[in-house]
Amino acid sequence: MNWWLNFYFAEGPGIEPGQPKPRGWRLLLSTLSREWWNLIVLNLLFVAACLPLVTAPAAVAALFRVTERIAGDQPCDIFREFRLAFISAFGRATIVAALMAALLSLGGLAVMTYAKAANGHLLFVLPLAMAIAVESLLLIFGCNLFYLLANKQGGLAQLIKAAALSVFVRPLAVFAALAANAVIWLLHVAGYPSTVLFAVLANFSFGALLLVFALREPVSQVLDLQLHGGAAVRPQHVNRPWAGQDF
Amino acid sequence: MAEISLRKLNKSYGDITVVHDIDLEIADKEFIILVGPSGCGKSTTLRMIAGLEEISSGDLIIGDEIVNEVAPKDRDIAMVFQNYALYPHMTVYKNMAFGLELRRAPREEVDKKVRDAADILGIKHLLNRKPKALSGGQRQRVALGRAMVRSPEVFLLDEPLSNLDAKLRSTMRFEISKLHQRLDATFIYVTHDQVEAMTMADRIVVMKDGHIQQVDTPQSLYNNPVNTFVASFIGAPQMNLFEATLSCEGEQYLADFQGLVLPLPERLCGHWLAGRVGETVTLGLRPEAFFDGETGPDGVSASARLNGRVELVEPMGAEVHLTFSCHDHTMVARLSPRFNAATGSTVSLGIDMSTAHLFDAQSGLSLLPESEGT
Repeated sequence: MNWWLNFYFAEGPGIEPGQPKPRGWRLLLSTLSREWWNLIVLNLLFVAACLPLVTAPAAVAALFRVTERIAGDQPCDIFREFRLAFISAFGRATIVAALMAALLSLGGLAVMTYAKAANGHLLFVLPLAMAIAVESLLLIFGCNLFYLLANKQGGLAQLIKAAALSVFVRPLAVFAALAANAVIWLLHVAGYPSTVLFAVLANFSFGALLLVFALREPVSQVLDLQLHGGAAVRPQHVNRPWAGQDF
Repeated sequence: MAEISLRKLNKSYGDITVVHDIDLEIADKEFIILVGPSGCGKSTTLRMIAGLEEISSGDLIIGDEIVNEVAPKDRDIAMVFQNYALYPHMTVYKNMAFGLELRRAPREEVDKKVRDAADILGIKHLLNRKPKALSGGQRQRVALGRAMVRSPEVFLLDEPLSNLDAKLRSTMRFEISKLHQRLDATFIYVTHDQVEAMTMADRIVVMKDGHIQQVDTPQSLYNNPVNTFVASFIGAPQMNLFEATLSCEGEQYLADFQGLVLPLPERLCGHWLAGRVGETVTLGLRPEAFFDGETGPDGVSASARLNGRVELVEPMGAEVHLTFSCHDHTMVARLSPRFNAATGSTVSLGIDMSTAHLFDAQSGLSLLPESEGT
């Protein structure tokens, strides 16, 4: 036991105030290595919150709120933060989820329709490509909107506007995060049933963290632009200092 | 108001008494340091004040209330431990907030206090880190922060700097002193390091074997130790103590050390020595009482000169510590940085007797009456 206790209580190297923070992948890896346990707890919480199904949209918003705090290296009481975000976002998240489901279904329908048509006539390849692009952008838009909904205050129209503008800032990073999410789930499916615990313990929260890392920069750029332009979408920490996240 | 009174405080474990009849008055907002060698009862005394040790007999009074039976959490005190005692599975923020959360303080108030304390201690950037990532100094700051957020009337610090390296200890000494000024609270601090005691305390309590030896300001302790224990414990290098025979020529008292006659300063000479002529006494000379030139650093001329054999020369940068032997006694002198001598060579040192101390050879008590102390 001694070796374990020594390991557990041993002094670390220390962190100097001016020490440059890692960026990009290194930041993601250091966050994962530091917060893996919290992410597992968060995943369990998310799965539990989704069980009644109708609560899934609010749970997604809460998931984005907590992962944003984790990505921002902010102190976070997971249970409390999740509960608060869940309650505060419930109504709007449900509306947004219904809206996004409808839009994505329409987009999906268009893609399938044009794909079938393109099979017979090469002419339909162009609208098919456009439908796929729109569907992809819609997906990013949905992610942006949920992220904003969870972390920012402001009217729904303003959030939609900010989410729409954010789609065009660094979309490749968001695509990469979505692709990584897809890989996580494919691994889960491919390894099933031995990977059955992946979904329960990790997939949602780790996936959300990847997305948040990709979404933070575009959203903050757009918000900066809007704030300087006098728009009313403000970081939530203006009203709730303890939930502060500098944008 | 957080005046603390210890009245005839005792602590026994079975038949063994480790703290004997401690009487001590601690003023509100005072920075008092309990100092002494290991096992002298200083930590036990602190733990009794904290409520972590049961008081065997005597009274502990905080403010106007006897708190012997009051639970630690209700004493309005906060304690910082030597090993920091941080929860390893909690972040710095959580560690600091935990005590307040247990008291069900409002969330916003907890957050404000934690962030304010972190700001004061310069650990804002560590709030989301776990203790494992922190260095010793940072952990110590967190432990201090955890005590600070409770805004207690009294801070108890049990050897908080013992686990730090010398450089960090010096920095933290300064920071704790600043913190005391800023928080305006009563600090009771335990250490075995007399440098910490001398540099930070308003008053120092010197303890030995469960007894208080002397309570005084740092400078007063240094200048007027009540016995040989205090004399040798306070000051680094420690005071040179050696036996001499007391004699008298007219009004002038002399100490005869192995044939070397040393005139005692006027301060020590008085009617209280009259009955002791011919007796053996203990003479105490601080290392700075020796000098290598014709005159001392303040231009004082030598009261006597002493020849010694150089045992060790320790250059300290701003000064040189010279260990030399003289009549089978080993002594230490603090000399100017220009001093240089080879080991084994003979040196002639001047002695400034104006700062000499005289103790009873048997009891070790100072022969200077308390009323004559300066």
